[in-house]
Amino acid sequence: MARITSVPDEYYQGFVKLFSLESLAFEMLVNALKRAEPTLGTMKLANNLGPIENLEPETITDILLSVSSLNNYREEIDASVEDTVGDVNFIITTREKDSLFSRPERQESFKKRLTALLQNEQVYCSSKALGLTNNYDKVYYSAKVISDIRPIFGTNTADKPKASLVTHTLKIHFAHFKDDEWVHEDTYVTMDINDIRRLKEVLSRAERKERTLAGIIKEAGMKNLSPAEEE
Amino acid sequence: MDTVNLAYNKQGYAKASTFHMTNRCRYSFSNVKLDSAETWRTAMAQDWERQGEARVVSEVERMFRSLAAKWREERSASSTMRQEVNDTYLDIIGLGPDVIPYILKDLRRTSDHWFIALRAIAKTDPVRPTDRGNIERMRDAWLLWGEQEKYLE
Repeated sequence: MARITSVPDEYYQGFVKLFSLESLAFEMLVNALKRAEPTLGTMKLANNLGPIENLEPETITDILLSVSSLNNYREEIDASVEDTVGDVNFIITTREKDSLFSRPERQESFKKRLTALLQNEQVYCSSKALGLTNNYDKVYYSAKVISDIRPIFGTNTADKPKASLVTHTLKIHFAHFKDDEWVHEDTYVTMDINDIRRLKEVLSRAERKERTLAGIIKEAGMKNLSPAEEE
Repeated sequence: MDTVNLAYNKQGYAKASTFHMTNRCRYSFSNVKLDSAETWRTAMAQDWERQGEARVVSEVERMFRSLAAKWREERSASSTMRQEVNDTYLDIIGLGPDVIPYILKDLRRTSDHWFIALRAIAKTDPVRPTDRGNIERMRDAWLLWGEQEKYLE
């Protein structure tokens, strides 16, 4: 069985905040989540919750991001919710020196809270949706076409060029996952005008397919989390 | 007899074989072959002890990591934001010169879009005009600058 032995620093504070939260504030957070719909990513979900009394927006974001990252990791290593909750509780209560963290009743309350959020449908679906959009080796970021006129010289380069050619280089900026990090890179592909026309057709076809599939999703009464619908 | 198998890599983190891209991050786990949670926890506490002060993180680094994680999630969720400077990115710039070493370390590992932030905070641009747009050369120019300015070892 896999057990969690450390929490990344960027997510640690979210768990500490969840531990320290007043009961009423936590209840209000859970109620707000019940009313919310899944979104593409937990950041967006946190923003969509709107203002919650006695809860800073930053606290909501920190908590939801931490829970979502933990849930994905838990699934990744196939750890049970119960073990995961116990391990995170242990990590926090061992590291934090404030007496609040050593109280057994607060620890039990934290475990219940974390269990509830790990099993919350909105949080789970939102982080899962974002995970799916990036669940490939390489993720597209941007593109640019660099166009050039290439002169063609004859055998005597001192003479004017005999002809010329227009070339296009498609620069694609992407990120890929390497050694636990997203690494950004560019790749260059040379194209002629016919390639560009064909690529345009392929992209237009993809756009039409998106519209058709969006219609099917709508008919089925499901929420469409596609960025085109969300933005 | 119960055995505990704490398998850390060089950075002190265990590697997982499968992943969820968005939240791929450095949690660590161990494969434990025992029934007693207490035995495992004792071993884990000893392991932390061994890692000791190496895990202490400054407030600026913690804030940077937290904001960078948010910025990456926001960008992942919105293709139109992948190239843009948003509020979270501005918050990172707002951390001021103390954050430069952490940005440079991240840049060294990821070649991510830290160029605007670095230019805004450092108030300089070591990238040659002809290299603008070439991510590799831009990264190298900033890393060299970081070494010269003693932000990087």
